[in-house]
Amino acid sequence: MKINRVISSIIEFIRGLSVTFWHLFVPSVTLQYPRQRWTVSDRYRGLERLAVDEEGRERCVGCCLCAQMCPSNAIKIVTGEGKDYNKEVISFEIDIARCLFCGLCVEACPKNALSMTGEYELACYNRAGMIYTKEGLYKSPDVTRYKK
Amino acid sequence: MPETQELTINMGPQHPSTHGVLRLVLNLDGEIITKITPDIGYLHRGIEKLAEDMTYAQFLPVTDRLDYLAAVSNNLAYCLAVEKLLGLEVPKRASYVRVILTELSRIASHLVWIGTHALDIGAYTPFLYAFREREDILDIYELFCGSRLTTTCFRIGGLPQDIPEGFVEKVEKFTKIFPKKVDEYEALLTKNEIWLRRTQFVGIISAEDGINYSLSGPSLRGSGVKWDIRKAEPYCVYDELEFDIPTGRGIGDVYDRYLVRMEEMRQSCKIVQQAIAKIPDGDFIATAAKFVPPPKERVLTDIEALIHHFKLVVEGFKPPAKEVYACIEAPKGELGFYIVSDGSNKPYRLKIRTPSFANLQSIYKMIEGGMMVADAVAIIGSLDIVLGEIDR
Ligand code: SF4
Ligand code: SF4
Repeated sequence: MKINRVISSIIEFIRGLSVTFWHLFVPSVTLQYPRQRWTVSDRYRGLERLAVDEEGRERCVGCCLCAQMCPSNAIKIVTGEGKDYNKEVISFEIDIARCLFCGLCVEACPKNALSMTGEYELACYNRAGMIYTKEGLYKSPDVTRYKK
Repeated sequence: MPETQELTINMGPQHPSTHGVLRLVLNLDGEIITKITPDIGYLHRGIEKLAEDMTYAQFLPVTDRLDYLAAVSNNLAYCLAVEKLLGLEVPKRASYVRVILTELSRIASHLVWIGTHALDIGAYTPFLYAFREREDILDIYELFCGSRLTTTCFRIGGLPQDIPEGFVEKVEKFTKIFPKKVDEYEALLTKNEIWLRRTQFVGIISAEDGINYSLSGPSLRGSGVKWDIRKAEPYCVYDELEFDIPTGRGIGDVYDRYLVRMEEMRQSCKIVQQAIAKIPDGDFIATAAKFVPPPKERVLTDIEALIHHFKLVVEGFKPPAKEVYACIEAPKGELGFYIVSDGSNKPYRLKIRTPSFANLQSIYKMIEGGMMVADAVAIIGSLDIVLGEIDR
């Protein structure tokens, strides 16, 4: 009985080792980040971005639906009166330190003004850098890329 | 004869094998545990209370943060509960995709479990292999909903978007290679002498005790109870799919729970294969203007749709005043949402029945019979707890 167990444990030991041994010849799946990068999917929920229309006007009309929908109150919008009795968006801030990247704000926007990009490297050195204002949201963010 | 006395020590909350921030107070007689007292609450975020101040649609992303290893299952349980409250019928297509994604989440959750459980016991290799396969599942999530961990994958009434191009192929490719990978893990562990000695006859709980301690999921099935909500009260389209419920060898030790989960991964893979071949055509979200926002194209062009959209975003919907409970078979056991609605746009009370919380209490029973400190690590691993779910 005991000898059987010793033999079977040796066999199993060799079987386990053979699995790891064959893995020596399997191509590696590790991505050498940051030298290699993976392409995110089209639907990736990264940093938010505001869009302009064909004539270069801001699409956002300041309806605040996105701010209303946001589960973590990450969006702050201040509106006021602009030219020609039009409503004007004075400031639009997203605090991405609070943002869950859930995408509910994008679904809530009735003007297709808000969308999400594939940008995911959002770390920065201070809290203020986590608050994206209108200027930051209308252009692609500056991302410090790793250089060799 | 030198005098001996019991020693009380802390295990955790910062301990790698407690899978999060679980604190265990151990009374030791030498190396034998005489008493174990779990101390929970280090990860309490007040999620149930948060729900009372959010509309039903807003609360969905928060459910990701319960069992963060299987966020999709949490989303499904919550959506099912709200749909039951509203009496909403979900299209077949959405149900099939929901089944595919939740079964994948079961596999992903079990993969993390086998990786960390083996790592706790001292086998490092399965961890690396399991995380390699989990990566493929996360890629599928990213393709479908754009996020890998906190998915917010479903919406009340269906799915946020239709399945993208390449989704079916990617899932099929995964299900083709995955059973071979499970064989690989089993070759490393199932009959390995060290693994057997560390897991067999450790942390035994009988079927009767298991039921009395309200154990559920794979941990209960390890004791030989054939109880699975997918079979007992089928939700989504599980009644149209074929699969078995594995029960292990009926002893109820750590090894049995291991066997059950390994077999479950194979069964889940089988379910995904069947479901992906059967996805019907049709809508991916229910049409119900009162509860589900109209499609975006309509909102952009049609004033009626725009009004509905505004109303649903600003106010949310108002379900009838009643109480519902809906549960699913989550990777870790029975996950249920109990919603009390008072007819307003926010839940009056929302109670989450999480499997890890109920499963953890059976540790009192499992530790009986002279278990050692190292066995406690194996037992916690075999219970597969997630502290995000226990503390909420
Ligand atoms: S992604 Fe979610 S959390 Fe972030 S701003 Fe939009 S709604 Fe708020
Ligand atoms: S919902 Fe869209 S249009 Fe309205 S404030 Fe937000 S970004 Fe602007």
